[in-house]
Amino acid sequence: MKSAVRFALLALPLTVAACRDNGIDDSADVSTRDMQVVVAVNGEADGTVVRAHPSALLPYSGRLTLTGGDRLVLRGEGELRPDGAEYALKSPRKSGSFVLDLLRAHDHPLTDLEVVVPPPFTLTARALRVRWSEPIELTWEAAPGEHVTSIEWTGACTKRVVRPLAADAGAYVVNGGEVFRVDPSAPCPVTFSITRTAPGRSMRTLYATAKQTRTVEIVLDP
Amino acid sequence: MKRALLSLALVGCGNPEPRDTGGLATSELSLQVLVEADELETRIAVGIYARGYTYARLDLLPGERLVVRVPGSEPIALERTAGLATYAAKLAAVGSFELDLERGAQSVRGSVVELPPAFAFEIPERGIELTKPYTLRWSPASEAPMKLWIAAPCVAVAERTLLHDPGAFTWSAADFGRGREPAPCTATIHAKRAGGTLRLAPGFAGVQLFRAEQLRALGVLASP
Repeated sequence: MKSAVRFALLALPLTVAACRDNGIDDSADVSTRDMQVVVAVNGEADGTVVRAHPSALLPYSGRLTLTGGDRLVLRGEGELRPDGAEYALKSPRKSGSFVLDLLRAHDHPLTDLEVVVPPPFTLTARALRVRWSEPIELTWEAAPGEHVTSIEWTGACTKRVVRPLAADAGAYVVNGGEVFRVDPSAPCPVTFSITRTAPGRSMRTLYATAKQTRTVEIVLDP
Repeated sequence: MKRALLSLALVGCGNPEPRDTGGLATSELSLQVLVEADELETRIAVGIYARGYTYARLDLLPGERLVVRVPGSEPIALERTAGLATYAAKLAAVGSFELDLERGAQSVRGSVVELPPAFAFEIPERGIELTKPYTLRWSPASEAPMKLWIAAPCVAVAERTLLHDPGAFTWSAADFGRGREPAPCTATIHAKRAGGTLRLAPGFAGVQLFRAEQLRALGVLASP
């Protein structure tokens, strides 16, 4: 009986330690090769938002806080700052080349990760309120390039659809009757988005994607 | 132990799947009815299943037959096709017909199949130009859903679905992907309107599957 109690007392701290997500959440405790940073560079109407999510790879997987002098820097723009569970920075530039560096005080840095944000555009709908059986006509400034263009529609009263486009032609028609409606007798506000996605880039464990999205809300009437 | 295994094997062999309608009342039979029609003809394929067996399609016994009746025409007996037991017939383009199962005292007559409304393409003013939107119209429009697709060696286009049919569809230039051959080429636009009804006459176990479609196709030139 005594030995059983002794075993339980010894095992308790080990169990607690195991439940603490391996106890690593400071980047300073993780080598560069055990660290992963996923970066999303999203062009918006008034600038470009860079969001980074540093984490530790297995077996230490989990979100990391940049500590001990570690920094994520958008070259020429500034340092990414904590923003909720991520690090973020907003640049006034709407597109073009962005260079990201992970600077480390105690291990090798990862530098020169360049991502190119696709050209900005303005999305326009011919009408913001249409009958469901009528076509929805969207236009924007065409820009052929390396990026992939897609259209998406979503809303509480419909099913989300993402449709890749074969070309960035600057115009698209969603035909009357193509959008699903939960309640055909009620008006249905649907958000239509056009997104240009650039090819992803990586440097060892630093990954970046870049895209440019514009949205417009259109109410579909019965 | 050996005896237990033997009895298990015997149980497994004791209830073989039926292969034909022999020994089965019509009230134990369910039907699979597939109908497709174009401007010229209506193609009918019927499978017979025993209640409780999803996969085994049954042969009719000699003297039993499935017959299609259209007012003003001679009845047409469906013929057994090769391979899986399916009974098929071709009729002129019709909007509805009756289906009878004739098997003596177990006959059930007068199941009614109605096809979705027929439609016709409007002849387009031009062919597809891959850098411009292309609109196709047809009439009459319908509440029935419709699928549209384009088959062509010089253009790749995903199939589109209209949940409600407004009588027209526009492909945007952004829909036209590169095909395996350079343009120009001949493209075939296909449209399939689903719907219709099957009112099964009393006496069957039920409907295994019913599908009725109106198919139309149109050849156009696709150019760069």
